Amino acid sequence: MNHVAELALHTFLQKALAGESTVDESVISKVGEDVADAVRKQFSSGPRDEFKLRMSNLGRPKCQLWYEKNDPEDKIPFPPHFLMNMILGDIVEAVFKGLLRAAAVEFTDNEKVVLTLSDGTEINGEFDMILDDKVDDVKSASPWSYMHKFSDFETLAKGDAFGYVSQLVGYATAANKGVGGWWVINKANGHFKYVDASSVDVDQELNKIEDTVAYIKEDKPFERCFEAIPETYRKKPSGNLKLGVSCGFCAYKHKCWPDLQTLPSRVSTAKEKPMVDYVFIGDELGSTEA
Amino acid sequence: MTSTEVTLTTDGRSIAEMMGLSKGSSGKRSMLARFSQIHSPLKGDMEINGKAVRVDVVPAGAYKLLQSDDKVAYAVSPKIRIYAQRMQWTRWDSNENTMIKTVLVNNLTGDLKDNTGGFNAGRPSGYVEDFKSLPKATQELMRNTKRTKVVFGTVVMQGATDEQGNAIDDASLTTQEIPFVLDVKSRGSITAVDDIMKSIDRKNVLPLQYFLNMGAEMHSMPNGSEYATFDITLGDKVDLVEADKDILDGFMEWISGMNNYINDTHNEKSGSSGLSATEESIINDIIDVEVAE
Repeated sequence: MNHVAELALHTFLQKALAGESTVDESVISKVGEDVADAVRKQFSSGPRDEFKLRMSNLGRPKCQLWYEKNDPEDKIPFPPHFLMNMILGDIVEAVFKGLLRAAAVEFTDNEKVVLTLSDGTEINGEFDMILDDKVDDVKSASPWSYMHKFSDFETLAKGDAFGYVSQLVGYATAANKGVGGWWVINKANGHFKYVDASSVDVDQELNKIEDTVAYIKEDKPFERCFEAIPETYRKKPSGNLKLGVSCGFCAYKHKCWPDLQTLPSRVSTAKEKPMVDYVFIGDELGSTEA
Repeated sequence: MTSTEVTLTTDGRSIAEMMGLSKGSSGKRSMLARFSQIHSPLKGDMEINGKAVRVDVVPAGAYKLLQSDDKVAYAVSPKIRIYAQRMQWTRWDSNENTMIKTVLVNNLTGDLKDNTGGFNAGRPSGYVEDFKSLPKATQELMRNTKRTKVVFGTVVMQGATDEQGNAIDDASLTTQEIPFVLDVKSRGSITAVDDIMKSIDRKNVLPLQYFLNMGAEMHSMPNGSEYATFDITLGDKVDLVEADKDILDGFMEWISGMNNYINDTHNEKSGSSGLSATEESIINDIIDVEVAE
C-alpha cells in the first residue's frame, strides 16, 4: 500500500458492499457534473491535430514532438474509438474522485496552471488533484498497462513513452506543490492503486523539459531519438530488428521507418501471436507477408 | 469470518511520535520499533539438580522486538499484520561501522541514491550477464550488497520473554499491536513474505486484514552452523478500523522522512550542491528577492 487514501477507499468500498455506507447526494451530483463537463470538453474543443506544447505532451520523445509540429500531415490519424477511450478515461476519473469524496478523503480538484520556463516560455496544463499538498494525476489503464507499466515508479520512468513523469513534475512545479503520484484504475476490472512518484529527481526532469522545449521552439534539425532493437527469442537474437515500446506508440512510426512492417511475431510460438513492428527481417523463416 | 480486534499500544506516545524519526547528533534515529529474527539461540544459566547448566533460553528462529535500547522482547510465535513494503539495497561497511542504504522504493531497477553520495550501495547498476567475468572485488561487493525487503506492520508479541527467557508480564506487549519496521534479507524469508502476500491477494482483501503467524524454519550451512528463515501462516481475519489509516499514515511519513534523509545525505556527500535539498530550498527562497534600485 502506498497511500493512506488507498486504505480509506478500500474501507469505504468494503462497507458499501456490506450495505453499511452510502454516497451523499451532493457527491453523486458532482460526479454527474464532472461527466457532463468531460463530454462537453471532448466534443467542443475543436480539432485535435493543432500542435501546441502542453504539459500533457512535453514529456514525449522529442522526435515525436518535432513531427507533430513540422509534419502533421503524415501523422497516423486518430481512430474514432480514440474519442470513446478519452471519454471513458474522464468517466473513470469522475467516478474515482466521487468515491474519494464519499470516503471522506479531502483533496483540491483539478485546476489550470502555467509552468514558466527559464526562457520565459509558458506551458499550460490542468492537474487532476492535490492531495496531502502533493499533485496527483488520475490514470485509467488497460490491464496490461496497469500490471506492467504502472507497476511502480521506477518501471514507469524507465519506459515512459507518454511522458507521464514530466507531466506530473510540470504540474507540481507550476502549482508550487510536491510531486505526488498516479492514482491508477484498471479499466477492465476496477482494481486501483497509488503509484508514488515522490522519489523523482525534479531538477533532472525540469532540465529535460527545458531541453525539449528549446529543441521544438528553435526548430532544430530532426533527430531520431531511438534505434531499432534486436528481436530475441529465449534470449537468443532472431536476426530481426523491431521497434521499441516508445516508437510502437508513435503516430509517425511509418514516416520515421519507411521499411516498417507490422506482422505477427515471427518467433512467438503462441497460438495468438502478438503483432510486432519489424524494420528489418534477417531471419530465414521465409515470406514476410502478413 | 473471524474478526479479531486487537488494540494498538502507544505507550503514552502519539502514533506519530512512536513511528517518527528524530534527528540526533549521530544522524537520524528511528523511533519505530525494529523487528527481526534471531539466527542463534540466546544462552542462559539454569539450575538443574543444584548445578548451573548453560541452556538455550531463547531458541534460534525466535523474533526480537527492539523498542528502545532498554526495551527488548523475544517471542517464538508472534503475530503480525503487514501495512506496507519497500525495497532497498543495503551493505554493511565494516571499515566505517555503518550501514550503507539506498532510498526505499518499490522496485530495485534503476540507480538508487544511497547515503554515501553514491548509488545502489556501490553495486554496479543494471543486469550483469556474466558475474564471473567481473573483478573479484566487484563480485565481493555485489555479494555483500543485499536486496532488502523492508516490511512495515504491527506485531503482537504473544508469549514474550526477556533475553533471560523470563516471561514478560506486560499486556501492552503481549496482547496489543506495536508498529514495527523489519528488514528481510534472506532469500527464503523474502519468498515466504511474497508467498503469503499472494495468498492474501487471492482472497481479495488487503494484506493488513489478516494476522500472520510467524514461525521459523531452520537450515544448516556447510560449516555446520544454522540459520533461520520465516515460516508464515495465515492467522485470523481482522476488520479494518479507523486507526489503521493513522498507522499507515505514520508508515508513509516514516518512509518519506527516511528517503528525504538519504537524499540529503547523498547530496551532501556527493558534493553536488554542497547543501542538503532542504537547505538549498531555503537559500533559493531567500535569494529569490528582487530589490528595487
